Amino acid sequence: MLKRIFSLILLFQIVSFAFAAENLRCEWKPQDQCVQNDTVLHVHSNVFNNAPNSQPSEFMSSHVSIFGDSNYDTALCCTSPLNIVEDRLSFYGEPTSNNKCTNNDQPLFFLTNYTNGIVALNETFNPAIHNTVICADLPTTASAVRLEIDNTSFFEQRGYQCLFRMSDDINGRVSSCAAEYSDFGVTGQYPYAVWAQVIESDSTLRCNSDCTSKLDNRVYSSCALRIPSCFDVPEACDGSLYGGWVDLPTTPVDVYGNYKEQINCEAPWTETRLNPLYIEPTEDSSILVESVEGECQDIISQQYSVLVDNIPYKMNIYICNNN
Amino acid sequence: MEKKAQSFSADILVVIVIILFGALFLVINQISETNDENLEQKAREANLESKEVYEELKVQGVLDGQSNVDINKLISSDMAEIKEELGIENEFAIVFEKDGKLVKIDPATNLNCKGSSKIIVNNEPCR
Repeated sequence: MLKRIFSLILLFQIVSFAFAAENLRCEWKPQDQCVQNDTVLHVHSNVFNNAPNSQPSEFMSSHVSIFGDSNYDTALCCTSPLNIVEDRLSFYGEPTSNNKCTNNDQPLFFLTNYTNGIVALNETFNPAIHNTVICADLPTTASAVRLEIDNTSFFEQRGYQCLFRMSDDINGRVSSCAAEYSDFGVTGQYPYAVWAQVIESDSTLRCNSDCTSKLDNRVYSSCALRIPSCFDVPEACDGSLYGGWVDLPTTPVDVYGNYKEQINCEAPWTETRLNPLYIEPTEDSSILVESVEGECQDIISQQYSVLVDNIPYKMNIYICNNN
Repeated sequence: MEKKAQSFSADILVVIVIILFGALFLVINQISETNDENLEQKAREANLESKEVYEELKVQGVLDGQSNVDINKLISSDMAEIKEELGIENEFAIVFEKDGKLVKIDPATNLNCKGSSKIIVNNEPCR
């Protein structure tokens, strides 16, 4: 009998969750006009904005500072019936500051230069890699919230909630999840969405024996609560794909914020390598390009702007011209 | 009469010298222009080839449509194969920089640049 009651309660919770999943709505409003209990995302006016302020055409980025000051005159107001965001969700962007969350808010997600990420609630703000923090008043039962940026329905199909949409995964314009906004006659301009999923306990994760979750096949250190052999999963691997290389925050950082070492998120969780992007501080890194004597009449270069792990670089293609 | 003839031949000499200087100037000017055109032509061809390389990197999956570079794919790419695929004559190499400073493609193997070993970057031949 008791088992049956428990099953019914569980079923009720699942059904409630499923209904709530469809109820998160967002609307663009002038600053300070969100309803008191709305989730508020402050964003900067879009300099290219040719639409009224109330239209979803404002700039926001996964790694651009988002301040709640007078420079930001538009807000994305979201009703939040989910437990994921019970009260208020706020963005703070002061890269040199410590955790900016106030009152009972907890850091939900530290935005970095990387598009995807998971941040457990107790992660410490690191100004070297975090340039924005999203704060939320979360249910105390939550152990982590996963946020993903994706342009497919992958995460939607796995029960993630859409927080907002973006025109691009980097420096994209942001829009509400339901908006069908078109600009210059082009529709479907918001292919990316920020998806959120709250992980309430280790049982929610449904861990596999290799310390990945059945929910999304990613590695979780908190699987150790149920699977003792996961005790040595490095925190750096939280949220990574099994076998992926992630930065080791315990190693030195170069002038560009690249960690010196990376760890392979695969048992036995000890294999490390030098980060391909790390620049030794003592290195003379000015560029001298020459050719083997007599091999090139001229060396002509063409420069392209590229991204490596979402960090902008210049890629030069040098042509050894003998025509 | 003789004085007049002498003066006349001196005038002719001056005219010939002027004409020779003029012709010399024109020839030098022409050579310089040809050189400039050759340089411009070379630059155009090299730029065209670099664009072809860039596009081929996309085809090979080293670059995606949003200019994201897959460093591991780049490291394992065979540049000689790409050159052959494109049918270009000139050797090439790929170098990364940030704020004017060299970024090693693979610090573990001291890989400064990816491409022809005929090109040397910071005393390290490209590979």
